[in-house]
Amino acid sequence: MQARKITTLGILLRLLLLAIAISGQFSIKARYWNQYYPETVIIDYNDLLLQSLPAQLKSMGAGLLRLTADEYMHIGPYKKARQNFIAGSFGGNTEIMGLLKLALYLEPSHIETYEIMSQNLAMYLDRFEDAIRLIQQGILANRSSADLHKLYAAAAYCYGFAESYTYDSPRPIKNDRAIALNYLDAAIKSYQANFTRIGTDSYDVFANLGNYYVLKSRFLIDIGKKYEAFAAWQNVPAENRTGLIATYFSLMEQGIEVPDSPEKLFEQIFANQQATKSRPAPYSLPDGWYQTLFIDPAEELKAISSRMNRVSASKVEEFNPFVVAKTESAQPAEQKHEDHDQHNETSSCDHTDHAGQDCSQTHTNAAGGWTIFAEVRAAIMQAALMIVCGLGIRRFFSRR
Amino acid sequence: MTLGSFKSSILTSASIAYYSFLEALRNRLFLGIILLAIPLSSAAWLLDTYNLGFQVRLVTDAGLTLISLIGLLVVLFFSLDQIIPDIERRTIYFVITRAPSRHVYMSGRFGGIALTLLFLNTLLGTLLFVILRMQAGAWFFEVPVAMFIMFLKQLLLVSIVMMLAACSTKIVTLSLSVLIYVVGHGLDIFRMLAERKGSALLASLADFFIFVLPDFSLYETRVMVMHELLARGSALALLAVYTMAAVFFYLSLGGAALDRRDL
Repeated sequence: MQARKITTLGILLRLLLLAIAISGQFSIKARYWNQYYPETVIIDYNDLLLQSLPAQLKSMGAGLLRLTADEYMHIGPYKKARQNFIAGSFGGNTEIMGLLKLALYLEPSHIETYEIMSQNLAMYLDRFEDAIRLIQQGILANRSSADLHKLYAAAAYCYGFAESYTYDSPRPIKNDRAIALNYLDAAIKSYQANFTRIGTDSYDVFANLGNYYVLKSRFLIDIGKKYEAFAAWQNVPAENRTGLIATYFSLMEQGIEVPDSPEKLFEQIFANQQATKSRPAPYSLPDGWYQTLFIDPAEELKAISSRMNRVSASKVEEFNPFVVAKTESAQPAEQKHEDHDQHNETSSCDHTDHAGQDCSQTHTNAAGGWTIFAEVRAAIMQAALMIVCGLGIRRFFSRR
Repeated sequence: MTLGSFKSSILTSASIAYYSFLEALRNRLFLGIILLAIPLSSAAWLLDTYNLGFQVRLVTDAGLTLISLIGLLVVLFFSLDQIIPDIERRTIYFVITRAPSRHVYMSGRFGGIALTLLFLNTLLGTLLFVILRMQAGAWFFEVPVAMFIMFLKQLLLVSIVMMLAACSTKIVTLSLSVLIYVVGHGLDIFRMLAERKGSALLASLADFFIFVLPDFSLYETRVMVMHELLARGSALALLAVYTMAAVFFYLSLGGAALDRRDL
């Protein structure tokens, strides 16, 4: 077969196609830049490198990291390591911070991660400046997000309440309600600007407009702007108007002169109540209410189960941790062993699996010794089968 | 088989294993893996982005995952390099003319990989154990136990790879090994799905595969380590017995296949 000649025309045609492809590529990216270049902060080469990874891959990685962080949060501290946090709360958890930071590297648009991290840093881990820096990074990376208001609100929350969480520290953090107000205003503005884009499914019980106005009016009172606070209160929806602050503004609305803060109003009301002679009884409980304190919950459970006729009383006894604890603490270890042996000898039951029947003799597997045999029966059978097959193969299928 | 021939087989197998181990140690890929793994294992401090102190759980979890992944790489690439290149380069002739049987050759090659894995796991596991001891001030005995379980799992996978390598090409061996490894982790899930479908045929098929394929989910160490639950001795003993039985089965199959293969 004869090789085809490359002509000048052919070369020019190929060059033309290449030029069209390159210009098309850049035109598409220039036209739809929003789609190709999201608002990602690129500070160093790491960020630049991350941009070259497919977004789906990064998102999946970030999701896995967040899941792991959530798992760590639920497990709690490592007992041997003496860590100062509890299971079930992000507060003070040091194990999750590295994971969440990595997740943010991969997916800087995940707003909730900023919220969790910033609150943890500012309130529990004594890293207030790091928290604010993180939120600012989040704001820069999510300027066109519908949930941007949540980041402003997180900053307002940190500035507004960090003092309450500080402990004995050489540099105690002070609340700065004036700065918090700036962030709250930004949150309100952002919420209103993106109101149509915020879906009903993304409604947040804390980060919503009603709460922002409640916080704003509270912070304005704290910096001594009572009447501006009252003006802000007018925007609070009726369902959010509860508590002492609502009473305070309600009195203002009626034209009654009120002190400078709701706390002072409370003191005033309390002082008036102290002055009155006839006071209602603080509790109105029925006679003999205290007897409920002495009801044994285990007895209650037994009674209920017998009534429902589902589980026998002896079965309930097996699940009752109080009974086990009582018997174990009452008997010394040696005596327990003696009793156990004796009990085995005199056992009247002739079945082996005590768990499956209504038998109170739980001696067979109570020590947790070789119960594993029952649990991995399939694996043992498989192992035995494999040994037999292996021997068979060696015996019958190998050349001698 | 007489006692003398058995002893001779064991000695031949041991010497093949020893030289396979030396061969693996001299391999540049192995050196590269170790050079990659040691800095990665020691890089636990990099995760502490806010200077919050040593993150025990994260380091343990990431360290064990890393060791497991590196072990998997070693298993896949080094097990493949044991039999197929010997056949392709015809070097197998020199060995099997002196070995009592091809089974001995195969068990020797398996022993070599087992030694390599033992060396790698000991090195990386000790490194992790020492880091945890130094930084957290406690003995984390879950780590050596997890390393032992991981080692058993790797042995099982090696035997499967060697069985496949004895009767097929490199690419087929690699793909089938990965498939068996993945499926072996989810046998219970497949059984459950088959039951949910309500099809007796599918359920029976799943049961059959559960008996034929190795159950890799038995070797899960993450829950044990994360929740600080020390494995029971009886469980470890049973797991070791199960692994040895499965290894024996797959190596017997592989040996029989190699025996019947025209080299």
